[in-house]
Amino acid sequence: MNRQDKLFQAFRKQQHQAEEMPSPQSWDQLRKRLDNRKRPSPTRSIYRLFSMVAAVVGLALIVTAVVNLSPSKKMAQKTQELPTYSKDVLQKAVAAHTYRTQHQLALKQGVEEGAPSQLIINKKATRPILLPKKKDTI
Amino acid sequence: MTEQAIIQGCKKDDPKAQKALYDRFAPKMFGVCKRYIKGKEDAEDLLIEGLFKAIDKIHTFNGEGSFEGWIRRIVVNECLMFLRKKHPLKVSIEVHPTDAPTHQHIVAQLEAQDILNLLDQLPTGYRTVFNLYVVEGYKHREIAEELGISINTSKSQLILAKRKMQELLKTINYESTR
Repeated sequence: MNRQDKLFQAFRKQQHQAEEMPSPQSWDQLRKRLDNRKRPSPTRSIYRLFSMVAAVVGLALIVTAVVNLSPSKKMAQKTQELPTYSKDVLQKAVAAHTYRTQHQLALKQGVEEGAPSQLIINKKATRPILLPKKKDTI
Repeated sequence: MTEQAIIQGCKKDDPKAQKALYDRFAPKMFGVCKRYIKGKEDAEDLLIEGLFKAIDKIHTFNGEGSFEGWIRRIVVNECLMFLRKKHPLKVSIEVHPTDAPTHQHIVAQLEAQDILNLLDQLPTGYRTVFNLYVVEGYKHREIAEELGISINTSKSQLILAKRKMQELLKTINYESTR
């Protein structure tokens, strides 16, 4: 070990043993800092809570607005809107619908000749043939 | 309270453990701060900041190595940060290392407070490098990284610090008794 190393060792040894009491106020300051860290002020907590709520509400509003104003949604709304019909037109439409349904059913099932029906249908026909109802003959 | 109990207590934010940590380590760490920082008030502020960080970050201490060494490192870093802000250590003076004559027998006679007084008379750059190298046992590479200087600057600052220290020892008339 050279002389420099010995000098350094002597310094190191002495300085590692060196102690000095800080002023008594230093512990109070440290405790205050630790307390502040543990308990954030109520005002700050409320402010933080309000900020979080406001952020969530704002986000919800933005999402709702974006969804409602999107073009696809508008198109969907337009197609779903029903026009207003008068009572007669509506009745006619219902009747037409019923008529169509019945004939579609007849096409599927077929009606044999001589059956008690207004409708006589050829099973091979592509559309129903409507005949007037026969009057009972004596 | 044992060191392990202090650590566990501080991890649970137990005020008694925090006080015990302060009582055990504050005097030593205040000595560390005073070696780096000239003003007593600044040294005390840095001690508080260092101990606060140590308690706040105690969950990061994994039990490997000495607990005192871990706290010392935090406190030293606080001092270095302060010095970097107040006294930029960018001066590079190239001096070729030589084995200058030393006064090891004189140093052995000096009290810790005398050494502290001598260190106070060194310029900030010399004192910081001297402290880090001689007392803390840092390598020149580590000092260069911590202070943002080159390795050669760290070496030259140490040599100049030693020379200055020897001059100071002569001026305060610490003659060899051998």
